[in-house]
Amino acid sequence: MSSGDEAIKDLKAAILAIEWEINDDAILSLMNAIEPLKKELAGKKPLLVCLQVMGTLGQYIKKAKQRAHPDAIQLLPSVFAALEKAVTGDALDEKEIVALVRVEVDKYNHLKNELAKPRKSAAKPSAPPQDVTAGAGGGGSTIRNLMDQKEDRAVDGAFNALFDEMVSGDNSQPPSKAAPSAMPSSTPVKGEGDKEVVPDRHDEEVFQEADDLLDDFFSDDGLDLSLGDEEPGQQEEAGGTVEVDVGQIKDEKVEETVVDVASVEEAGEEVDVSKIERIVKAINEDVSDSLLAELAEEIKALQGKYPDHSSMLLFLQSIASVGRHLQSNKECELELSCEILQKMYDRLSHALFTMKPQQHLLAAHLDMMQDYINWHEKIVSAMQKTVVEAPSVYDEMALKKTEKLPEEIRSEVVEIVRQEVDSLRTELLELITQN
Amino acid sequence: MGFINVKKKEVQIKIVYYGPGRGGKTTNLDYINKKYKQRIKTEMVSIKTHGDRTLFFDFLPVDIGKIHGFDIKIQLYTVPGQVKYNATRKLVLKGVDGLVFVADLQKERQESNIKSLEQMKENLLTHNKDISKIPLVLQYNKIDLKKEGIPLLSVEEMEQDLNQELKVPSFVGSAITGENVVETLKKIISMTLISFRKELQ
Ligand SMILES: Nc1nc2c(ncn2[C@@H]2O[C@H](COP(=O)(O)OP(=O)(O)O)[C@@H](O)[C@H]2O)c(=O)[nH]1
Ligand SMILES: [Mg+2]
Repeated sequence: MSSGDEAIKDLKAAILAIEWEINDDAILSLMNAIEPLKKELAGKKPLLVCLQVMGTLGQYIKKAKQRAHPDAIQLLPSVFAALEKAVTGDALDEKEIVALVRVEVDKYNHLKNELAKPRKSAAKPSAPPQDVTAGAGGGGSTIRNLMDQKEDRAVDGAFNALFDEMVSGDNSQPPSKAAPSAMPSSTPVKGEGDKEVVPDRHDEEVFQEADDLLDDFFSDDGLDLSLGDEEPGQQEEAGGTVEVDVGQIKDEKVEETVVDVASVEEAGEEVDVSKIERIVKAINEDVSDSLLAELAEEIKALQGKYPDHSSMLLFLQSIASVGRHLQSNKECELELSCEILQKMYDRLSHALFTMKPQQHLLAAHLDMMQDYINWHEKIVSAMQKTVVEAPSVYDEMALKKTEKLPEEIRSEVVEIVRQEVDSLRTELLELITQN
Repeated sequence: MGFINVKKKEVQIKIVYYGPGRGGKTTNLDYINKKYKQRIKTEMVSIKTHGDRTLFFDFLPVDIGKIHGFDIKIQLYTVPGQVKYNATRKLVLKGVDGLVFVADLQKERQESNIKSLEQMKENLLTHNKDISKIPLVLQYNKIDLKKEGIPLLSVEEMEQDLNQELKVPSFVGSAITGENVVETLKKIISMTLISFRKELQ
């Protein structure tokens, strides 16, 4: 079967090329080499499995590029070797061929499992809000690792949309109604008449006309040099800056600032927690019953408004429980409780600013849970102490109530975490199994 | 990459300010924007979070004028500094022509400077760009803090950490006071435009 031999040779060349350098061309040659072999080997199931595995690996490597798992790149020639041996080797019987292929399939399945696990690579420090500790339990860092990968990809998607909008020059459709006016009409997208220039460093050269133009444009002549009074970092309305606060875009504001917020919409429902921010701040200055009541009320309102926003509800629940504690036991660890309130709010607001709250709140949940548990332990031990010292002053029921809370919250976290991790896992698996 | 459009007589160049978070990239652009607001006819777009951190990027288009009849359009971008937004940083680097690396002179930021530069190098590689070839200027920012008695790294230390191999132009400056902010920008545009010289003559 000479055409088969030819096709095998092509496949071998393609695989060698990938080992040498991963690029789209190399992957394309691989795919092109696999196709004819599928026909050639029709009916020979174990061999077709080899081809399928190679195809899948190729797809995966194409997507993952440099980030591809090294085992995936090594598995490719290994599967090929098995295939080659089965096709060209002297008279292997069916059983031997199956055994040969099974080894490769096992390796492939192992790799799949590896890929579904978080990467060990330390190259990517996890970075939810500062001072992140180990997270809640041993699973924390694992989940957070997953989150990091996820975030990178989600950011890619959302950002791509916005970025593409920006760089789609006048050769594409008119910018959507919400395209920012400040965006240049023609941006670096190659269009008709464009010639690309890839700038290099030419240390010795001088381009006098360019330097003259720069001196001209950036000269101080005729400038209103009142700059000193204005902090350049400050936002001042006449400063000509379109400030887009992703956390706060409301419908009317979208019209005004005209930035396409498709990506922001994708971020999930816009939630305004500014009232909580204000109340928490006020509580930190001076705790009063009316403020605590206001906090409880606002939390209730938000809970009613966003009944499906499970991630946020979890935050709210925790904030509410600290609030309740303050209401019943202001004396006990007051400072600590105010502090945790602020911290929880910060985490909530930070998490709401990330792009896909439902997914991205996960890491923040874990951090918040850790904070909550630490706080709770301190509260419980402080209360126990006072209960022992002056049992009549403190209601033992309050202690029990506080004690019970983390269990409820914990099980809710576990459920949300489980769901989110499941969906992440599915996505990762899809990435490597899609053909 | 930059573009020269002979029909429209226009050159487009993309400059990205890169560097560790809170190093002063946005402040650089703010300064330019404020100082030249009468000449910069467009608006700066800043996408921020509440904490005043750059979430996506800042974007400031500046048309500096004409060379031999060609309009020179410069687009200035900054990248977000937070570690987790590397995907965004990578995307902003897409098609970059020239880079300003804004390092923070504060002693405690030494590690972040080095890490950020290292990451920039890697991110450039994913766009098939070589840090040793692309026009690049370093800015050692926040020199004004010296007066406040805050421990700063010396210029020699900065050079040793960041510029030993690169050997690119570097400026000690302050984005807050504006010291060397304009000089930095002029230098990077000038370095980038050199590659267009032949096309423009
Ligand atoms: N003292 C001083 N502060 C600066 C300077 N440049 C920036 N900052 C401050 O550093 C913080 C971060 O600056 P920003 O421009 O947002 O940093 P970015 O994350 O690199 O964009 C802000 O509070 C700035 O006001 C500077 O030259 N001197
Ligand atoms: Mg910034």
